[in-house]
Amino acid sequence: MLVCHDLKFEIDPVAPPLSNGLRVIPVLFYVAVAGCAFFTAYFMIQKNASERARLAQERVTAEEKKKIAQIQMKYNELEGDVKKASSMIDWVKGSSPIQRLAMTINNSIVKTGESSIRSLKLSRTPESPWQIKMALTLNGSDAEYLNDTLDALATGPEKYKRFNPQRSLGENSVNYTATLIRHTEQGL
Amino acid sequence: MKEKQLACIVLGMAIFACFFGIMKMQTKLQDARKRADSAKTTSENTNRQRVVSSANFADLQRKSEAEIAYYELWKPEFGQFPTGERVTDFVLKHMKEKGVDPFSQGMNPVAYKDKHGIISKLQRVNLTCVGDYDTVFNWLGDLEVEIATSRVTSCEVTKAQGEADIRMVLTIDVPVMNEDESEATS
Repeated sequence: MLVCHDLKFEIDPVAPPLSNGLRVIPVLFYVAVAGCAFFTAYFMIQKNASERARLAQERVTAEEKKKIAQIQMKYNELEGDVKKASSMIDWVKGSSPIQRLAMTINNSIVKTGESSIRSLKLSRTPESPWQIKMALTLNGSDAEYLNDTLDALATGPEKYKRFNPQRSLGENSVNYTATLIRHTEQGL
Repeated sequence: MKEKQLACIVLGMAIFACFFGIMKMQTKLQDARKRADSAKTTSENTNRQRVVSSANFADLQRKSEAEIAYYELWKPEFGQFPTGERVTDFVLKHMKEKGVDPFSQGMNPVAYKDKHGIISKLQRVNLTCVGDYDTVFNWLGDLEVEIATSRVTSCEVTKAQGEADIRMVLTIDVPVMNEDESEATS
């Protein structure tokens, strides 16, 4: 027994336990590690979901922008066509056939057989092409022959209205000038 | 004792690092949520813009229905003469076909400006025709029908000398519209 005792090593004295205040630190450490693992997983999942939602919204935005660009292109195209139509309408309204008017005037004179046309001038100005300036010179000195012509203009299919009419008698001739506007174009 | 205290300090630092890491992660999550919210708001705004654009387009379509029908109807007529030479050739050929001889003629391009700048060029045709009443007037009537866009800006009819019935001095403007040019203009 003595031999065994002598063979024993000297054992260092065991360190005294931590104070009560410091004992909480290892516990806090384990809680922190567990919390860290939990929150990291939670935040990562949430962050990925947010990223996916953001990407989805960005895709939707890109699609919408593409649609807006297409609509805008169609809008501009339509607006261009409307402008063209407007120009065309203006042009066509100021381009009513002159031949029909000249024929109406001539036929009204020929019908009476009492007079004849010495000259007839029908003209338009670029500023107001829907107005037709008429300058008519009839042979003979009786201005009454004009009445048939004026009636024909007023009651004919195009129903011209006369503005600023002027009559004058020349040497064996009757001069008449007026501005004619078709009934349908008075609103212009 | 000292070693245990040191270990506590190390553990304390590790706890702080965990806390700091969690805070950092939370900030990143908040940023990601903000970006997602911002993307959603942008998407909603864009959607509203698209709805407004569609409504505006539908409105314009509805309001311009008559003009567009008019445009479709008259487009071929206005596109009939892409160059002034075509107008000249057509008028001369038409006169020949109808048996009207031009006493004198002059054709020249003229600049024109409408309110939208769509019609920018005209071919001006100056003609003096001498002939019998029916032939000349029928020719003019046919010409106004066949070139539906023609505008007679001046027509002077007088008694002709000699055998012919009448002498007609005409100025006709025909819009020259090149589709490519008008597209670029509009």
